[in-house]
Amino acid sequence: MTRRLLGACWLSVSLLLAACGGGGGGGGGPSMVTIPNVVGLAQANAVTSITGAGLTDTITTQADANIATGAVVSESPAAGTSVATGTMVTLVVSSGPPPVAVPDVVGLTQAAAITALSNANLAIGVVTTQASTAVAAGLVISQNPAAGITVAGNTAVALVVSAGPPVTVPNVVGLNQGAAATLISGLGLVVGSATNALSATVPAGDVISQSPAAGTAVAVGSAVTLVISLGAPVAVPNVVGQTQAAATTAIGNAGLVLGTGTTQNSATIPTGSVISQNPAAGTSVAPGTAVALVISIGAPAANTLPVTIDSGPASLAAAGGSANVMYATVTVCTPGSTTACQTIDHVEVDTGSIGLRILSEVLTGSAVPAKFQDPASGSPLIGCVQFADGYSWGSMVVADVTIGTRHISNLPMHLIGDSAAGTAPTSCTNSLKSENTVVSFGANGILGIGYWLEDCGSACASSPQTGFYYVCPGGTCTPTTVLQANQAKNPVGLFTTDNNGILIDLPAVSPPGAPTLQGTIYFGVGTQANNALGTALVYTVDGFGELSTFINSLQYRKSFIDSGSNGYFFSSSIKQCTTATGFYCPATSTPETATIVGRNTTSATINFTVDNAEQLFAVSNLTAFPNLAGSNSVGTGLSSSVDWGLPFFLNRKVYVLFESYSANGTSGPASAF
Amino acid sequence: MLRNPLEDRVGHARRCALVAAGALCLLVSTAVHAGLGELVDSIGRDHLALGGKTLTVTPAVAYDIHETTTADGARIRQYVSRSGTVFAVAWSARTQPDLSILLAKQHDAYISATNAHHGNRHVFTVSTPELVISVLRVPRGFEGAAHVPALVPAGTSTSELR
Repeated sequence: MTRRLLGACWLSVSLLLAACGGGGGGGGGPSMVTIPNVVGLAQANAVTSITGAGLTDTITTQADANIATGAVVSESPAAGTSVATGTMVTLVVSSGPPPVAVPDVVGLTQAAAITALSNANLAIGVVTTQASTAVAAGLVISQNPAAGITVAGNTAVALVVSAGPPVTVPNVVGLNQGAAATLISGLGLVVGSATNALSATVPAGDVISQSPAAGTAVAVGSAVTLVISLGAPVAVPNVVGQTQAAATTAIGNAGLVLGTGTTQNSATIPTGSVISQNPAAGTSVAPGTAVALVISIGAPAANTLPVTIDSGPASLAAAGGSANVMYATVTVCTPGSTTACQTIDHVEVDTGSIGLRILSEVLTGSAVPAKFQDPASGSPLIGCVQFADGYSWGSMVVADVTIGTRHISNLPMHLIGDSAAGTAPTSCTNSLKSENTVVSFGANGILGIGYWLEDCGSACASSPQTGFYYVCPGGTCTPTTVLQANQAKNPVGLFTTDNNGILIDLPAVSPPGAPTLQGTIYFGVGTQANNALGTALVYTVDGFGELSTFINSLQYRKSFIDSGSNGYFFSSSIKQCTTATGFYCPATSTPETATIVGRNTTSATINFTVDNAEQLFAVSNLTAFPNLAGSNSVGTGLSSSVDWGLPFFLNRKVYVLFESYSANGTSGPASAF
Repeated sequence: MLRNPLEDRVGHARRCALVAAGALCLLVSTAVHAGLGELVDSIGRDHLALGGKTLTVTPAVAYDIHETTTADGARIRQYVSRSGTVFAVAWSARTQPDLSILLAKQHDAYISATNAHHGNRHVFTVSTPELVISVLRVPRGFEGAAHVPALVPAGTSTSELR
């Protein structure tokens, strides 16, 4: 045996190892193999096993009650025997159970018939019952296959068993349901399903029809189904436009009942009257049917402001457009005028600042806000607002302003970039870039409706503060004190109603984003049905507008919620973008989980996702991005903050509760969601 | 607010003009002020220039923290290494403190970076070998932190500098 063949043997199964050993010991004699055990295997598998062992086979068949048809019953020589290669092995294959003659079970009781069939190695087939006057109840009337026929073992034999003499189905049409049931069950029948139908002729509760029909002969225990009358149909009266009381009376008089009542705004149907009904007027219904009403609660509340996320003012859109900036439209009028007005679109809605500020360059119409004079010096009052990367500078003015449907006379506001304001002092600019044009500012103006009623508050009323209000007599600008009433005011706080806060309601956006998005701001918190807190919880903020966030057990104590930030900004090891500086560019979408904790310890778990900003920006025409995020610390110690920007507001109702107001027993300033 | 990065390519020329103006400002400011990268003896001048009310010094392992608070509640920290150099500053205040004082020689780098900035107006971050800075415009105030990487003492985590 060559080395190569020996190797082949080592790779073989154990059965063949014996053959190799035998061959080696026997010199040039025939190889010996052990017969494998194939009893119980299917014939094809058994043959494969036998020939695979180097043997040959021959097949015979034999009925067998215990071995499945086609499986090996026995083999000869027996498994385990050592024989020469090529020896013939005889396999006996089962042809199934032995054939049997069907016994005669007609006339036996059902139980005796089943016993007899089982004893004869037969199975029990379908057993049906049938009325019979000739055969006593419970005895077999007939069988199939018939007695005497030879069949394979385990063949099923169906039986027909007598239910005794037939019963004639009674006529129950016209009876009431109870009487019909009594009559049916009294005859040994059962009441089947009962359905209802309207009938102008059969009184309510009585049987309209039955099945089987009266007079039919059926077996004892058969079911009789009934159709029960609901009475004569009633036409639903028309109650639209009626008062709720009148509608209730009309519905009752028609034999109907009042269903659920819901309320809805309507500009045309008076409060308390019916806007719509279901079922509609004229529909035929059963007596007692409920009629649902929708009741008017009057004209829609005038506390809404439509908002849009889009590419921004035309000049900005031409330069690339904005991302995740929410805009509203406001109307500015010359004080006291209703005609010298200009409607200004693309005013950014910012919960991170206070006051209405309009870029001077967009006021090209007849509206002329009045310059505000500092009462102490008689000089024009100039406003400054500082940002993280720049500043804006311009005259403080008063104008009549309309926001949504709300009108404010003499609103103190900020005109940014007007030439009359001159050059900003260093204490305002901090040597940073000016944001005094639409393109550098990113909007036609800003509507700051955050937590406070003024942009500076009591601090500027008590002492001059750098970075807020200035007078510039002789061209030298110095900070000055300004009464709170004359500071840039939160316009919503000046409304006569719905003035305690706002609700921002933006819909969901699917990744990567949407070309435009429409939403609604509701003025007021808990002042109308449309700004009710519902299940929202209130999270208070401190004097900086900050609350806490926890991510991965780390606390970010100086976090804030801000519609004016265009992403989630937080510290993370997620890869930074290279061209979209400041944003994150993970290789794959990265889920994050955070917990927001108000200063009042109310907490909420927030799940959000970080997508690759450069890939988001690469999709043309998108302006609303649900998964845009960036860094706010880049390796400085300033990792104490999470900036919950505009994506936080998508698919979430976010309330802003102003200072000095309360909601659900919690005082503002606060957010709720 | 923030725009697409596309806009930056479009707006490049405009920004270059502003960078030039910022550099001009720098020549004036660095001649007067100390701060980041300056020696510890500049802190007293800074304290007065920033309108400081109290000045406290708290020693840490590798540096001292000089903390100025002002009458209107601003808190400004300057981190001084054992060699006597201000290597980091941090602030928390209603309005931005005078960053030409605090950033000193690095102020022009900050101005240049803001002119190139296309992030939103509430968050500004820059990380270069010369200057790492974060400025946050929170709803009613500012949070800021900056350091010069080369000056940070060995073994000091920048997360402490806030």
